Amino acid sequence: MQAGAIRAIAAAWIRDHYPPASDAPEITADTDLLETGVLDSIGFVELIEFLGIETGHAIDLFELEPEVFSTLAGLSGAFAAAAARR
Amino acid sequence: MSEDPVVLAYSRRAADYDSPENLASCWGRNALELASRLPAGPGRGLIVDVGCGAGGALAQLAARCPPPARLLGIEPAAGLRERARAALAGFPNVAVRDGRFEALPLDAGTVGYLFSIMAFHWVADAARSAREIARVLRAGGEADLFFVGRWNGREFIRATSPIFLRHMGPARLLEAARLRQHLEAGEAHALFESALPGRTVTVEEEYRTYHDDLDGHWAWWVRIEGQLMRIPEERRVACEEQVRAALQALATADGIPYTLHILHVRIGPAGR
Repeated sequence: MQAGAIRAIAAAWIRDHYPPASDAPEITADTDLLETGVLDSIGFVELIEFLGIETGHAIDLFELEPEVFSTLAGLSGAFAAAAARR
Repeated sequence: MSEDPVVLAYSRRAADYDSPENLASCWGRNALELASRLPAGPGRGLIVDVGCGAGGALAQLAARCPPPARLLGIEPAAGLRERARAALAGFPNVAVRDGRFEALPLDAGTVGYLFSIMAFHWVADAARSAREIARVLRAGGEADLFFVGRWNGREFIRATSPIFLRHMGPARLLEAARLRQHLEAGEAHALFESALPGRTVTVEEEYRTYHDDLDGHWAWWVRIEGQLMRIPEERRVACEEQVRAALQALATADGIPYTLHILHVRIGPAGR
């Protein structure tokens, strides 16, 4: 699965499970989801579990830099890289 | 008995947990208020407080339940057990024992009333813990469990999570988050109804916002030390400074707000 597709399903999951307030800024690929309060740490746990199931791959969180981890671009890139390594 | 980092932290910091500052904090005041809601004279059979901490709530209940009532505190943190035994020494009908929700040191069907104040969210296995409660309750037994839910402390979590992420990294941050249960009211109801078929299970939730100054809130920080132990030693001072600054930035005219999300699971006999 490509990073763009993973990013799309992650964004849809967030809209379903943690819908932003009506006046919240749009979530982009580079929005810091933790800093902006879109997700908290448990939200990330749930999202990563969901992406693991959807992609069939696990990511090594010890390899991720904090700034990579907390954006849709970074997370989807990590899952795409895990898929490519297989 | 346990290598659980939360239990180890509570044991090591037992004196701080029981300090006047912590007891005066929002968590201490909330625990006191919840203890006041316990029934005046819970029914027949053994009365058990699981996660009894330093024994404060058990002492309140023991004062109104003289012999032949029997009360038991169960606490996994050795340091807190010692303090509970000291606090309860004047009650001949109260004992304190090592144990935890997932493996209650009790025979089946022996408990008339089980309660717990702000402890169940620390269980490692919620389903097993609920089954244990079902196992030890006698047929007409009842239980009250108060614990924090999914949306507890959102102001603090939002302000501090980016800081913890920088200092702990993603893996340790998520490990820390997993150390406590984050149940919503519906999930809690499904959990206990599944474990206790045929009994009456109700779940009430409430949000309570407490305002305090930074030092007042810092007094209860000991309660989450187990989750923060994974911060590398060399980064702790910087992390703490940044966290304190972030919390101070939340201050309003009323103080720094912290909102508790409290779930109350009430288990009654069948058909009530």
